[in-house]
Amino acid sequence: MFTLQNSIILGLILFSIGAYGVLTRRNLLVVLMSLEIMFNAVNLIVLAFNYFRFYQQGKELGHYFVLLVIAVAAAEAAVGLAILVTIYRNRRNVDSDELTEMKG
Amino acid sequence: MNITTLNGILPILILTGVGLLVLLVEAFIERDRERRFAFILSLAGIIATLVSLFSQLVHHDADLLLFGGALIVDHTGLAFSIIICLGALLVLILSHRHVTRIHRNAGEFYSLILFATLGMHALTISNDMMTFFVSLEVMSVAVYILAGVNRKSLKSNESALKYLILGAFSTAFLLLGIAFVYGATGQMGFMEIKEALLSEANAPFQSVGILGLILIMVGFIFKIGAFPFQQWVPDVYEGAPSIVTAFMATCVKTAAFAILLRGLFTFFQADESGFLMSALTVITVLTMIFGNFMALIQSNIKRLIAYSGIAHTGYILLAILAALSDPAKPDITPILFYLLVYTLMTVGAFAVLIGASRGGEEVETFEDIRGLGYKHKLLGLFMAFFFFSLAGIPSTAGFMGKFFIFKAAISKELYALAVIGILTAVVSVYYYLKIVVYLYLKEENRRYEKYSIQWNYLLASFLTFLLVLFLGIFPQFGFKLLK
Repeated sequence: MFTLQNSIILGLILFSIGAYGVLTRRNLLVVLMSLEIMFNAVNLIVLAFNYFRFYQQGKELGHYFVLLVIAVAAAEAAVGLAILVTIYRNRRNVDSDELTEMKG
Repeated sequence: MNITTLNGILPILILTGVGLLVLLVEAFIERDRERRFAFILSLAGIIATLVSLFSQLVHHDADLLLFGGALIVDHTGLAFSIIICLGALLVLILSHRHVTRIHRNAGEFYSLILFATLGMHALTISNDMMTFFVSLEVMSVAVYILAGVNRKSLKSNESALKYLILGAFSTAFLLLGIAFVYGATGQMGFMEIKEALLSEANAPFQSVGILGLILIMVGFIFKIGAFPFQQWVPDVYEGAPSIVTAFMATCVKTAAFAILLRGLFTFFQADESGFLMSALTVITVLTMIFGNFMALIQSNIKRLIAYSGIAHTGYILLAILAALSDPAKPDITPILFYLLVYTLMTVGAFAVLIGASRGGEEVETFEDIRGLGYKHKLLGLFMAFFFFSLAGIPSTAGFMGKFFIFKAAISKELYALAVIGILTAVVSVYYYLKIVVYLYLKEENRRYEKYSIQWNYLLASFLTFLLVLFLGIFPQFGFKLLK
């Protein structure tokens, strides 16, 4: 059950859920949450590879990489929420259908 | 840490230090003085970075590997960084005073520019998936904020959010690619990954690694704004404040090309099926055609520059293809030269556009620049010259840049690509000249009030004007600098 293959399939399913959410949801807060799911799916895949393939050889690069990804994802989420707040202040909703200032 | 290491990361240290200092200045000095002080400080920081990059380039004799191969200070990286810092310097000169019109705290703007430049420099010299990813994000997050720096403007908000969501979406694919490459090889360094992908012991995981590389490519193509993933470019460029658009169109693009080039040169031999190369060829053709034809039908100047920027991306990709077809002795000077010239022309054009904007209103449509050539003769002349150069009229640097790219493509027998490139470049002349026509179009029965513009717009546009003219007549100096 707990094998490399299964972990990666789980990761890919999570990644697809995230990507589907980004592409289809209208509420921008949910879009940001979907992005977080995508990042964490990648973390899961890196950790699975690291655990099943390289951990026995004493390599831990994947762990460090996951730490960096978590930090960067946090920074990106902070900036995303800040932009969302300014948008909310200016137009009182956070619906992506309403964001149509530019055309052409 | 020894002195060589310290010298290698000196530009990074300067940019970090000055960026933090500028941010602090804001807290401790009163508003009016703070503006000028923060400006001078950040200008000094960028100039110091440029000087240290130049001295590294001049004293460069062997590639310098730092921190166990995480960073590589080599000639290509330094040349790209110099182009980026030059662009950042010009953007900083332009943003003096102008920035307070779009954002209350000038210091924040300057320090974000410095941090973005820091990320770009680290990107050009990164040699490891981890440094690559972190510096890419340092750059991107800073630019996301910059795009939305005009908080009151709905357009700026929308541009920042679109950029952030699409940027993070592409970063997720890039990360998935890195995860697969790591899973296939167990390595993070570019060189180690290449060796592991080519070694026999790794054969069962070869295809996973190649899949990872393709996903990483998708992320890159998004960042440079090439064909299938270019939709964000016009919206983000149009919505962001002009000064930030100038920064994005030049520096961010140059940095993305720097890392794309390093990645391609390292990895494309690992892809034995040749899929990456043929995909890149298709992308190049479609990017050149799409960018130029979409630019034809634009009525907003910033959107037009965005689409023409996509077209220029196509030309640079063509130069990359030409360089890749001779992997033993790749000649990347045409790429560097074109990026240098493109940076100068684009920042110059934006300098004029920003200088011409009156009373907080940005110049957007063709009507806004109608008769500009009569209102301010020098400004009109510069603007006409920059658009001639972007169109590639001989005696300008833009012509030399295109000439070297097409020459490289023809000498590598990429005839079809070169022909498509030249034909689309001819198409581009139409929309660039349309702008020049509007510059000197008279309105009936209207007197033109002459207007004065601030020294910094004139300085920036004059500097770029001189450089573009100089590189157009004596391109060998540019080549010598970048070689």
